[in-house]
Amino acid sequence: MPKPADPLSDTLYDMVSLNRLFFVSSILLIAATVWAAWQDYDRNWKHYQRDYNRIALERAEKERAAANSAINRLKKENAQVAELYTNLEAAKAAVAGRQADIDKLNAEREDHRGALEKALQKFQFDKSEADTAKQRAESAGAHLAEAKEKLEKLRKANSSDAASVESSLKGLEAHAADALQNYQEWSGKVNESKLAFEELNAKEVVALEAIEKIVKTREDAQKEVDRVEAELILVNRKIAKLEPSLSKTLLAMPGLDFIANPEHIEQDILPHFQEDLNFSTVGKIDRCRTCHMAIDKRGWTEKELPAVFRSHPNIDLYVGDNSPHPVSKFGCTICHEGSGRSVDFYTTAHMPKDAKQGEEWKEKYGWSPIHHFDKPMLPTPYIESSCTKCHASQVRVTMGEKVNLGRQVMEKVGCFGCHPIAGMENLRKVGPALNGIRHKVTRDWAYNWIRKPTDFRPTTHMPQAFDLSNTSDAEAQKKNTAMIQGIVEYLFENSELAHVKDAYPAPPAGDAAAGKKLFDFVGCVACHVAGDMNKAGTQYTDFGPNLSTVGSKLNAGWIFAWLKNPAQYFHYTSMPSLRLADQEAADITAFLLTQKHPGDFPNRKLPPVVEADVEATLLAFLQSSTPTKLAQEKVRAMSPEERLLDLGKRAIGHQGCFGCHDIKGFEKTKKIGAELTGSNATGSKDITKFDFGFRHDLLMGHTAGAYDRVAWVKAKLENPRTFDGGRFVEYAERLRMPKFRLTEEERDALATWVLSFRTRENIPVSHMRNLSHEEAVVNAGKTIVMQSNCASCHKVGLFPTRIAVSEEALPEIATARVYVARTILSDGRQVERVSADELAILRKKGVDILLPAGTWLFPQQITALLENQPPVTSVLVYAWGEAQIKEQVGDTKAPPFIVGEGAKVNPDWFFRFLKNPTEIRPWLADKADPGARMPTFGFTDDEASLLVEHFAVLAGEKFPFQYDPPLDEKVRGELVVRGKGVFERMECGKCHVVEGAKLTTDTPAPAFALVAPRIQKDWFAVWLRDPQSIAPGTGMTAFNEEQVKPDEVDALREFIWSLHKK
Amino acid sequence: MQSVLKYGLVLALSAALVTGCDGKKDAGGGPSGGGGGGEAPPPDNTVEVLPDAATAGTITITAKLKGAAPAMAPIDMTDAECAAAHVDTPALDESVVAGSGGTLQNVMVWVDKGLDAKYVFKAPSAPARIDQNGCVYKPHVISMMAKQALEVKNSDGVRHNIHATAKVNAEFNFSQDPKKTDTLTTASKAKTFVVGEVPIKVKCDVHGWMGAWVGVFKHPFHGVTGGDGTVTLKGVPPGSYTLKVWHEKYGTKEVQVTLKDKGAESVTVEFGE
Repeated sequence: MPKPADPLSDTLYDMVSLNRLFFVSSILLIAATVWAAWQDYDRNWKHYQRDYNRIALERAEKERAAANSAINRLKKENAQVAELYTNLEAAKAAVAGRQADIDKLNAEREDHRGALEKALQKFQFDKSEADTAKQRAESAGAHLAEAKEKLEKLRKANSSDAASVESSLKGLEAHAADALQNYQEWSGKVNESKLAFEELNAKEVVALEAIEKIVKTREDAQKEVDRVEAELILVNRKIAKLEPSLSKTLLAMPGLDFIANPEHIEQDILPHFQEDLNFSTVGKIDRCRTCHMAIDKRGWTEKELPAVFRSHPNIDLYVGDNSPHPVSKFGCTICHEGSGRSVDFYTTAHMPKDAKQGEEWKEKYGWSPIHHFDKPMLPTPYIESSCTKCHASQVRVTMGEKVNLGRQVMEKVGCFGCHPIAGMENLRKVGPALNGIRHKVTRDWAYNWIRKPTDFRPTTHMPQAFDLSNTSDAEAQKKNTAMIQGIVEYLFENSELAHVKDAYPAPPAGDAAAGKKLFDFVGCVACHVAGDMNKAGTQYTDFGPNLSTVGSKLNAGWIFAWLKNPAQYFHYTSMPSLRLADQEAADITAFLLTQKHPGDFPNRKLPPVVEADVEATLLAFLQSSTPTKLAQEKVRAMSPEERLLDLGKRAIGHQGCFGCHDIKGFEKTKKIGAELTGSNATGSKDITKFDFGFRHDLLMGHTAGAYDRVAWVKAKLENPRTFDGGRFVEYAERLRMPKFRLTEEERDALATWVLSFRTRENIPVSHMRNLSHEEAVVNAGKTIVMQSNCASCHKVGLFPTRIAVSEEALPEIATARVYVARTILSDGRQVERVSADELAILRKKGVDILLPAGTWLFPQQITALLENQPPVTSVLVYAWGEAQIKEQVGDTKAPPFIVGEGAKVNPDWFFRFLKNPTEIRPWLADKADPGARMPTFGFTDDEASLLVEHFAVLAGEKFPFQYDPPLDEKVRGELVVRGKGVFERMECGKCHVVEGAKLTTDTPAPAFALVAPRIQKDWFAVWLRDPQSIAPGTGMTAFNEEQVKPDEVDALREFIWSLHKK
Repeated sequence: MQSVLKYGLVLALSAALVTGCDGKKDAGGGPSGGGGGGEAPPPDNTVEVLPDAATAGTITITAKLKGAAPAMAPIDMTDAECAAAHVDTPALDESVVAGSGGTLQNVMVWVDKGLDAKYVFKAPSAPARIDQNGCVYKPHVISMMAKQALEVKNSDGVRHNIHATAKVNAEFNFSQDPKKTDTLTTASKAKTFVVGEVPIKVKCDVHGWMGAWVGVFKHPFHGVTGGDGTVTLKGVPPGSYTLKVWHEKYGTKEVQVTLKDKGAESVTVEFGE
């Protein structure tokens, strides 16, 4: 308390107390200044860096210890290294000692050298002597023979010269004998001297080898030591960098830290990416690596490490300099979102992956959800929703399993029927056309189906639109009933088909047992499940509806007509024509009619229409757009039939049934749902624009106002009407999204896909995944392959050739997800890329591609690989019965592999075949086992040529033309004659169908008459030598070079090609 | 000049030495037939760790068949040359072959679990053999060790193809000329089986009725029941084992056997409906 002012003083204040006050406040000011400076200096990220340095130092010390112990071990194991290492003198002595060994060996060699040279000289002299002797002996022999001949002649002529010649002959004989002996002697000598030389030479070789060995062991040891030492130097350097030192401490001091602070913010500057910062657009800067210091380093994976210091979990794919997404080019927040410029746990907008982690963070870091920030980080389970920013051009993102599944689910259930979604505008409606429904099902069935689809078919994709959480009270249920009755009435009244009069005519009588067999074999099971209505098929067999209950739904006439020609009823159906004969179709019809619903569903009826409910419901709808009085008048003016029909039309429009089904009268109606892309895209629109209703449980970290986008999307997918909970809303105004049958995994994936819908960011072209022409072709072709479910019958596998998995490699592969960065050949070499031509050459040399570059092996593929060696992704295995699976490898009746098809068949033949499949394998259709049949898909010309190009690109072939120079007719004629011989010797006609010849095998192979137009000539040689590498399991046998000699291959081919009759 | 000559000679001689070596390799080389064209197999440098012979015992398995064995159906051989080999007595389908006294032949038996992992066995140097004789595989079921050579013989006057539909090992399918024998090794073009796998169906795509079964194991404790329906596994170290007993038609059964030092255990397994 200041004293009262001294009345005698000049001033009205007391200096003493004021001084005190100033003193105290200046102290406070100093303290505050220091505190502020400290606050500014002691930033959170510095603590992270110090922690990291400490841990990194510990790790480096460990590495150093390991390197040292490696050197010690080397010393122990290798005396030579020890010598080199004890000390310099000893090392020198050791080297000298070794050198002495070498010198000694060299000296010995010198000694030998004289002898060796002498021996060589002797050998050479002896040899020349021997050669001379040989020549002499030969010429003596020749003279002798000449003389003998002469003598003979003279004797015959009784010439007097005979005697003199005879006498000289003796001399010649003796001379010849001498010469021969001389030659033999010299020959012996030559052999001796050769032996002597060789002996000495062998010694020389041994000595040279010994020297080489000494030199080599020394070099090897040196190399190993050098390697470890180099490692050690690196580790020491690392340690020096990390070790605390006075200069570092000084440089990090406040006030000095502007010079060269070892603690500094690590930033990735990304000028290519733009971000909005306070109304201006600037280049992106990510500072994440300031704290996440080990993110780009390998091996920081121990669980004990603080999460902040772990390596990126997928460093081969992200962050790493050699990965496709180096951090210097892409940064972090382009995928993760969040505030890249911040260096603080809160302001960077970290987001927990789930509520549990949120609680943990709250406790550990005092985390709370960030407010007023548009792009908090994506929780890691949904991170793949960022892939499509740059990968939008790909139908399926490589490695984006979750986002791909989400897209696949959406394509299956058809969200785009109601919601406008950019990029999905041109997809076909997912449900069948309803403008002929009257001829297909009954009203009873239709009513009960709409009411609860899963009651009839538990695996259906048709969503439930009525009796959901906001429409299940008694009043709403009455209205639901009226609505569905109206829908049924409208659909049946607007159902007219040009090709049907009243009803489809009854089919010929069919045999259900024969139909079952056809159903199992001809191809139906590739897309449909029968026999168990609860059985969910695979990705492939679930392609079409489960048919286990269709006998309680469809009439015989409709089934028969549908089987014969699906496109007649529904012109863009996915169901292809199997070109069934009338009897076949009738048999399958009979079989399908045996597939009855086991429950009470078939007995459920369409309830009688309650006039009052129809009126009330109609009024409810009219009132929302018209004044009540007018609406009432309008309703009153209608007849009951008109009311029902009008209600039906409104109900269809309200629920958006036409989004998935073609319905007459709704051809041009706009989609009913909110757009999920564009300026209000679900993944980026302002979180406050989402209606959370009373779902307070969806707040992040239970913090008021902290709305969670992910939670909203997931809640919506789980119960689309949930946000109406607790509200009073008029029937016609209630939420109307129907409920889809989705698994938790599917919902999660779908949420990831939906979250990928964001306002377009400005990604520079250089950073987008741009497709080359070939990639674009493969991409587009893949879409058709997926939409046609080709993979259910054909192995369109990822693996072009056999993958040899050694027993030793099995466990390793089984646990890891393997990315093959470079093509690995079976001889161990790694190469960048192998073209089809190179592959053919390699194959000839017996080298296979072990793994092609760019292949990702997922766990399930690895399992399939291990179970089905040679590699089969086993798509067919899913599609067929168990008996077929067992015999899969080697089943000559299975649909063929279409791996490498582009290199096998001629493009023009392929095109025609896709448009109009013709029989290549006639044995696929015998009575006991009807075999599978390539359906007629009704591809357009564009689709078919795209597919042909797709397969050509996959096989590394040129498209579409490859010139095949014609052979000279005479040459060809000779080849054909020769080829016929090979053909007969190898008995090709024993299995292959040859016109006019009788088959002697049970498993005939394709007819030769069809080969010439179909098969590419250069494919033939590879196929002949190693068919299993092209089509694992094929019945075609390999013929080796002894059976068909290399120069006979062309002849055999020309003969086979000549069998084609034009 | 002289030294050039000399070293030239040295070189020439050592080159001859090397090629001499190669020549040897070729001469002693692998099969030359359909599956052949390979090099000699690399020497097996496996260091064996074998059970103590002093304490090893034997396990004898008898496979029985409940009730009467189904009659073996005659095979309708559509190939005239094949049929000619069976004019007097038709070839019979061997999917169920009864042994003496209600036993069952062609049952494959092996030690499945319980064998100490420390043991390492080398494949025997003698090859496993399969013969195509009268367009029938003889024997119908064989068991062999991984990396053991497989001798494929064609005793017939017709061409066969031998197609092993292995799913873990590499599949092979090669054409074999009449009256020819090929030995498949780890280095031949068509490789012998290198990893344990059971069963592997072997078939001929030319003659649909031809089928045989092969079991491949990492250890020598396996066998196939013979005419008396029994098989004896010898030299088994003492221990508790799970044995698997397989028949192509009746499937796989498991039996537990505990073998004492120098023990001799007998087990009977019954197949049939």
